[in-house]
Amino acid sequence: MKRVLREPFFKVGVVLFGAVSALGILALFWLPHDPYAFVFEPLARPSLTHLLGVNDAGMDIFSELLVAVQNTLMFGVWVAGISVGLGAVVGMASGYWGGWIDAVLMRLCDILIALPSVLVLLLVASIARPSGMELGALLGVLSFPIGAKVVRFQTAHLKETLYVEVALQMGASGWYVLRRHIFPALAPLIGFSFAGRFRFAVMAQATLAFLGLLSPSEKSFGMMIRQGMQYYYLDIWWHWIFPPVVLLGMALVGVTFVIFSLEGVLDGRVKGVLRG
Amino acid sequence: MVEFVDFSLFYEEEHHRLIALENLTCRLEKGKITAIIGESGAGKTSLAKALMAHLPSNATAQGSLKVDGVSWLDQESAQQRLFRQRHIAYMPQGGSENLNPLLSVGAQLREVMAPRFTCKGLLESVGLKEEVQERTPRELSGGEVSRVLLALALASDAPCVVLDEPTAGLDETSKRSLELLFNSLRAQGKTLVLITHDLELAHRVSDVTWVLYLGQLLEVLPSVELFERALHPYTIALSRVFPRMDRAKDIVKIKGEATFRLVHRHDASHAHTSTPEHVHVEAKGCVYAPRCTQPVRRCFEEKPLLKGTQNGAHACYFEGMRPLIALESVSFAYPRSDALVLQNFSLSLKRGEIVALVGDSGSGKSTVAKLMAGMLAPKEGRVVMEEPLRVGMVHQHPMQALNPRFSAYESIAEPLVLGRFPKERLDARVREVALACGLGEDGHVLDLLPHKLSLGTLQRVCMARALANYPDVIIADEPTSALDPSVQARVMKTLLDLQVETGVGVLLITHNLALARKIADIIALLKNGRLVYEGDMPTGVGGL
Amino acid sequence: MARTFLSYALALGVMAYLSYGLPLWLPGDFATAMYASSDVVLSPQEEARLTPVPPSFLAYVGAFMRGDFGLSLAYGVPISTLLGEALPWTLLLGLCAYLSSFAVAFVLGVESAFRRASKVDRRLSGAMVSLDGVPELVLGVVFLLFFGAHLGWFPLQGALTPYSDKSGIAHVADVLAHLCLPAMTLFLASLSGQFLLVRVSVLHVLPAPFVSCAHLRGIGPWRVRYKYVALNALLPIVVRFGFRLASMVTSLIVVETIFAYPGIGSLLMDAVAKRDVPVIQVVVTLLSLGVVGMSVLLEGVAFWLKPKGSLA
Repeated sequence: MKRVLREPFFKVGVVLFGAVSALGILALFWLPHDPYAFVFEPLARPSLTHLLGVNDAGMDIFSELLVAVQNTLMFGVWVAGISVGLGAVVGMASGYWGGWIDAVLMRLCDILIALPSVLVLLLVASIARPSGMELGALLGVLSFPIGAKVVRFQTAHLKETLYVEVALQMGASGWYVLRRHIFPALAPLIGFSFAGRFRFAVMAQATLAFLGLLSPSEKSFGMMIRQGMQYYYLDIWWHWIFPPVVLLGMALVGVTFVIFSLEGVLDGRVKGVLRG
Repeated sequence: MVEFVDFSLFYEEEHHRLIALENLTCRLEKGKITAIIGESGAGKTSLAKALMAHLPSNATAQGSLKVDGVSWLDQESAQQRLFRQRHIAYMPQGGSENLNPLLSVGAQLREVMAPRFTCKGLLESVGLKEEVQERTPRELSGGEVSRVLLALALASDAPCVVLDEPTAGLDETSKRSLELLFNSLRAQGKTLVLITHDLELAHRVSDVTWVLYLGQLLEVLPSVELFERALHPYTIALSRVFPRMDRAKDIVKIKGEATFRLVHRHDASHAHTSTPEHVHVEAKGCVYAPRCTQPVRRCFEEKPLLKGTQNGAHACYFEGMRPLIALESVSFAYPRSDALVLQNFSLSLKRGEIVALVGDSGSGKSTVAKLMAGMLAPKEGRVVMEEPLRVGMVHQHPMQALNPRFSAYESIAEPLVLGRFPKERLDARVREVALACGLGEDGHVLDLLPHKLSLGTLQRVCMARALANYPDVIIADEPTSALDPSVQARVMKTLLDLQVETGVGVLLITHNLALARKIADIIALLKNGRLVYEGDMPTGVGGL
Repeated sequence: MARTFLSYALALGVMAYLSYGLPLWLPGDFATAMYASSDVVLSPQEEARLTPVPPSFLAYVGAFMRGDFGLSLAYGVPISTLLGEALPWTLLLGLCAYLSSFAVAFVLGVESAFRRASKVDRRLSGAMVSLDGVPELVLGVVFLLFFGAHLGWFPLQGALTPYSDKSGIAHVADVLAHLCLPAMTLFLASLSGQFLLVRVSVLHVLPAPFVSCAHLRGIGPWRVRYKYVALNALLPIVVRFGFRLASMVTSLIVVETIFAYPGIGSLLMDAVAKRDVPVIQVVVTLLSLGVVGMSVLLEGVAFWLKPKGSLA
């Protein structure tokens, strides 16, 4: 584990992602202007009061950006949390108890995997226009199966180890074994999964927002890029479109680097499946 | 011939009285050789002296002791002297200190000789040459002294002879010749009382054996059964203490120490007298309980009385060592196959006993382990377990048996956590058992993870884990196969020591017959799922 | 194998049912979307025409199977017509970008894996990982703004210059010019992921004993590399490729949207904006069919490739 921390990929990744997150944290405490207030002069050039200018509806772009960081990060955590949480629970239950629980859950997972989730999202988003959180929940639910399969595989493998057998012989209950022996061994896997899901969620959010499937009132990178793109023929690209693009890129590349550097630590079989 | 009825003997000291014999009720048969065995302080010599009606002045006796129907202890000293001349003779323990250094052997013989004997005859009967009678004790060798003492005992032609450690210090050849002599004496109709702590002698020569411990008669049994079918835990433990020529197993001690028993007198002002280390105050309950490996509560509260069985008696609530787990006519096959892994297999594991199950790979050994641990259920037959039973297991590959993320401490503590051991004592217990397994000297071993420890250390961690929660049984499945020979020896020794200390029953599974013979009390050979031998494998037997 | 097939069939069924059912269950329809905020008042007949009574699911499926896709609400033309116009562009873009991307990724991946941990490998992998972190969204926008708007090298949208009537070589050149940026975007976006996939799969196969045996038998390095290692790595590549299908579709849609390229993706997005439910239904279902079909095909290939008792 210590080796990883020294790897350049890891360090660079953390820096990149950290920079973006820092802005988000900053947003918790200070916003130059109310990002939702559309009272300023539309399409104004950047100035000292409006570091990145004003968009077409009269909102300060810089404030928008800060809020966007927040929203994106939260969305990422939300989706990854649901996906990984469900994946872990389903995977452990399936892997440990087997039998009909396993059969039912895995069949469900097979169907979910077969579903092209993005299309489902597209469909739902285009027709139902749900909120970001709802869509995120749906994304989480649609994407948990792959993680669940990996967790199930590992759980089943761990269950057969001698030390688990010993614990059972000493009178351990199933819950004890899951909690004390299996889960701690899965933790690195789950953490890694979380990072992967987070990345996927951020990408998905940006894409969906850009395609106009999310509510415009929820600020995000994709949304800002979309809005900015409508005016790309004006010379606004460097202060309106570019910042969200750059931040999005930084965040994603940062997370990708971290994931890549962590891969070396994990079991070869497992990480192969995850990469897809 | 001799009858004890509720006989007790005490020695009165200044502040307390020592209990030498207590509530002895038994009978010495005429014309038989009776061996009385026991450790020091058991009361053997006191019994001998009581028989001889020759007790020190501070001795008080209770109950009745009759020799040939007469209670000689109550008689006048003149009568008692007659008694000693006519009815009962004594060969003392020790050497030339029992002989008058100034008189010649012949002279001393003639003092007690019955009319029909001659010096020459007596000396020859004990294997000495006639000219010995001219010599003084100083001119005799150790062996010769013993024989002279025996001759003196035989000289009075008394029908009953008490022999106090007659073969102590003698070489094998002399022992054998004395044994022959004893047999011929019995053939002549004499009654011999053989006081000894040589079990093999008792086993070979005597008809009946009495087992004494701290003044209590714990068992009376036919001597042929001494090693095989003793019923009292003490007798069984004694039989394992004794080194035997034809058994490979090393001798083991009995845990704890024998102490003298005393009672404080009511009128003694003993408040400020410190009790010396080697005595303890009389407590209720079985005398052997503190050193016994299978006591139950009752043993400490109520003294078990001598109960008769077929041809013997013993003072214990149990018959022999209690079986912990017994497999009765068990057959087993794995769920999806029909091939029988075990066929009609019976084996029982008793407390305080090490059973080695020996067989080749695939003979079904691990299956037996799992059946005994309750992890598998038999297809036929049944598994009988004493409930509630705690089983600790030790496996062949310690790296696999330990969670790689658990420190040694956590692994050892796990059974305690699972068994809801009181939290405040948990830490102490973990360290205690770790130390007992040889893990404590280097303080921080307990905090290390498995990948940093050697295989031998890891195996001892596994042992500590198995022992942590006071198990009744340890099942060790090839515990040393994966270790270097020197490490193997160390681990095995640790196991043995622990077994003696705690009295757990141990099932040792191994393919190494030599190891089994060094360790086990009982060896069971398994071939193709069948039990082909069970016993303690004397030398000369072995090899399939 | 049968189990997988069943899962896919079920998934397809779910997709079809969703695209059929969702518009029905949820509020909002075409008429409202188009006309709610305007001053136009629809007559009941007009409204009825624009909000047709939905057929039953079976009828829906039946019509679908026959190729009768119905009419677009927004344009009033048969959907099949719209599809006929959009599909060729999508195919052009998709095939150009993806096929070249796979080929390049394969070769690069194999070569990189063989030179594992060397400077070449590390630099290449590093570059690919960085690229992988950048979504096509970002790439596309950057390309558009930089090469298109700022430098003006390429047209900014569409597949053809509007209202032109070029023919022959000029026509082809025009198409290519318009194709270039979107194809580049798509190419780069998928290259990174594919490269990493290939590299990992090859690395997985490399340590296998038969590889060193091949070397020991004196077989030349190039043959070993491709006939022994790469071929065997194909199986895991194919298996894992299936997971990427859906995201490839998304990428396509995004790129088309950025560059206003008139393919299926743009068609879909346009329909979404206009709440043109029938179009949405049809396109989504067709895309699902495509994705699921490809997945099944891939599973079949994987099954056929898989030797008994292999590592995958």
